[in-house]
Amino acid sequence: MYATKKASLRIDESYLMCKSLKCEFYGNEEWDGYCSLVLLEWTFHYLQILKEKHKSPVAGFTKFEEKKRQQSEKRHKLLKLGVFRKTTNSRGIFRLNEGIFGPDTKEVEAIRSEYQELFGKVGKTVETDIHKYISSFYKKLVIEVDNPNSSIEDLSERTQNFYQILTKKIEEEFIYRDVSNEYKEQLLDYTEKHAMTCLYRLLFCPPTTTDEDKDLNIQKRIRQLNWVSAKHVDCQIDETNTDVHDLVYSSITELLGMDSAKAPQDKLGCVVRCCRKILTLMQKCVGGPASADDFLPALIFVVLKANPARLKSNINYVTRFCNASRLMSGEGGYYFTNLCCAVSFIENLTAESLNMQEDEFRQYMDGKILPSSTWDSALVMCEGMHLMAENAAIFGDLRKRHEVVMNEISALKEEMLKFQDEIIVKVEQLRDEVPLILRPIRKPTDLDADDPHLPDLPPPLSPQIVTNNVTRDEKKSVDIESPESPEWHITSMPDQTLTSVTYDFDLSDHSGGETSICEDLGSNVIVQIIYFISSAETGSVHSLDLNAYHPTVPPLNKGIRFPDEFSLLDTEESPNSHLSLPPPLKPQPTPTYHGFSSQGWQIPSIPCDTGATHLAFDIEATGEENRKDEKN
Amino acid sequence: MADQLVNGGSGNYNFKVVLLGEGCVGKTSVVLRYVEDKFNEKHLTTLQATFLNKKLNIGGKRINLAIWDTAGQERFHALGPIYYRMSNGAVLVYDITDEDSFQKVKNWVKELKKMLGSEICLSIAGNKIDLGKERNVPVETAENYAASVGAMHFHTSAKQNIGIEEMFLELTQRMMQRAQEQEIQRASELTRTNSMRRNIVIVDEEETSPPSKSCCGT
Repeated sequence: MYATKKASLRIDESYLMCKSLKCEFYGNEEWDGYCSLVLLEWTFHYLQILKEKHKSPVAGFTKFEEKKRQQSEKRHKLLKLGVFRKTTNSRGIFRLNEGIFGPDTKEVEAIRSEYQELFGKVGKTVETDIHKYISSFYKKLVIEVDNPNSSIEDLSERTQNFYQILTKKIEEEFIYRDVSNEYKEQLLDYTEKHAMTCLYRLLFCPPTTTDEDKDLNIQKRIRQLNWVSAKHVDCQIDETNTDVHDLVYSSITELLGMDSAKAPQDKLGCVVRCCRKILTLMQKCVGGPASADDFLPALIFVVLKANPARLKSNINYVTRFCNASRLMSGEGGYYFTNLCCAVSFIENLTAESLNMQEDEFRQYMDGKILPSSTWDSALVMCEGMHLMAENAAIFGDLRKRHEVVMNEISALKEEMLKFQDEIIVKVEQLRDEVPLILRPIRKPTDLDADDPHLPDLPPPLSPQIVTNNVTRDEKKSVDIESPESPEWHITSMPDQTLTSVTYDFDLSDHSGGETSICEDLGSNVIVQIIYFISSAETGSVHSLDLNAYHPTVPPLNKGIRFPDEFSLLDTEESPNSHLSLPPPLKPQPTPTYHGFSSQGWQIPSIPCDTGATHLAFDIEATGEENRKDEKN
Repeated sequence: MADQLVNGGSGNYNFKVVLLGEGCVGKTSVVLRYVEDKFNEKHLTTLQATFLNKKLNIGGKRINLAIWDTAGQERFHALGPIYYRMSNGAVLVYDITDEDSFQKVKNWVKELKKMLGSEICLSIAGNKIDLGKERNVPVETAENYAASVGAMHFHTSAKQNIGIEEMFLELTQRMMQRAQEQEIQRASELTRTNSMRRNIVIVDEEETSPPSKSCCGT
């Protein structure tokens, strides 16, 4: 693509050289009419070199900055050319610069993304075609702007022509045949938005016009008229109503937003939103659909209070560059016309149009008198009213909530009373069903006291008696289990079965040891002995525990622990423990307590196992005794 | 530009109609009766009666009437031209019980004629005929005046819904006729504007054609 274009340019160059002589393609009356062909050729040649230098192979929306530079360079060159401008444009020689859309990259990108969906629907060919139109229009306008002979009206006319041509093209051309009317409308919208956003800096408030002066004049004028109230313009705005007040503010905000929009239709959109809000508020004030008789004064009032920046410039910009078919019909057009009317009214405002005396009007204008009912004072009033209304609303809300809370409280009270009664009844019931019986505290028994059962218990040697019984009963069984002597057992061995053989081995192994005696005894006997031993041990442990811990552990703990341990002793082991009482007396001596260890033997009768109440005394007593012993 | 506005292509028309009349003659009631078929009711769907659209279908052609209400107060009289610029039709409403309002109508007609010539179609509506007993503007005077300025006169009552539908319908038909006449006129005369338009078209076509030429060149 690039290469072919390059080639074509060279050919163009050669054509240019011979154009005036023979080439029909470039041979044109217009060219003949102007200055020398040599100059013409040179200029073109120079321009093309420039272009080739700066040209990026990708024609599109990238590298705007570069293109901007390129554009400005081109413009400077063209300024020199002057008269050739139109011709060169129409020749399409600058076609290579397709895709130059000015410096507003971000905004253009935003617009593009906004319309991405639309282009997805209408297809790529349409998109390229539209962009081709936009770029060619942009280039034309940029050139035109630099032309000192062309006024803003010319630019406006060109723009409007462009809109019309584009509308026609979209209406008629082949590639748009599948595009619905709605999308066509959107395409036009996009074109306008895109082109105008790019051209905004050139077309908005251009230095060639007096727009700026007009802006300043109207601003000054509105500032002078700051005393005008709604009443002066016969506006039925209820300045004290808070809702209305808010709507006035939001409509003012919308109107002020007009200056920041770039595309004409966006500016128009701001006006539409502003006016819709005014109509809503007028509907509230009038109590029915607002008519133009109500609307225009309200709009004038809002414009006076808003004093929008660059009002005239904005109005002129929209008038000149907004698609006229849109501006002259439709809601937007109507509201915009009303805005123009309002501005015109403000510009030509006289005492008569405010229904007041000439003198009074002049005094107001000179700031000599300030009316009492200005917007500001109304604002102050409004503020109070506003606050009051707000507070009233808050109070109302609070009262409601308070009532709710009170109701809930009373409900809760009732519930609580009910609950209380229920609980009382239930408790009574329970009391009747399950009466509380207080058991008397059991008296701790004296462990060390003389046990009455002691004499009744059989002596520890009782197992011998059992063995005697066994031997008496059956000879055979005794042979196996409890022979009195190993020799005897061995003699009886051969008579017995194989099992006895193994047993015999066992016996022979342990024959020399002391354990053989135990084993020789019957199993019952062994168990009994073990039991005795264990009971003796436990008994000793218990006695140890009691004697060792009681002095150290605080009395309270002892009081609690005592019955438990006591009951243990009491229930199960008491008969045996009493039997085994003698052994516990031996291990009593502990290395820490000298006094105890020394007395351990001597005071078996000391009631260390007495009830908790006596324990403290015991400790004291033992302590004293210990000291006495030490002294001794 | 005005042509473009009127004929949106494919035989559809967009007409702009301005509603002129003094403050209390019932302009709003007339237009609301026409668009919403309601009078002075609370359940009007529109929030406003300043700008209303009415879609019509006459003879297979779709017509959209954009009805612009104007502020009728005397102090805004000077703003009239801004409102009725580029409008195709005007409905001038006066109150039959109010002689002054009729005089106002006369003023507006004069202005409209001065500004737009015969391009605009005029209808004069003598409103509030339900208050016929209090009539202050004689029927003959009004009708004669209307005829003298090439306007149609209608006796209307927004309250009782008399004559309003007919008035707008007749006005629309006249505007259509006028638009068609203009179309024919435009088509027949190959005037400067037409050639100019063609020129511009050619310019754009030329811009699109060079690629093929350059391709041929290589």
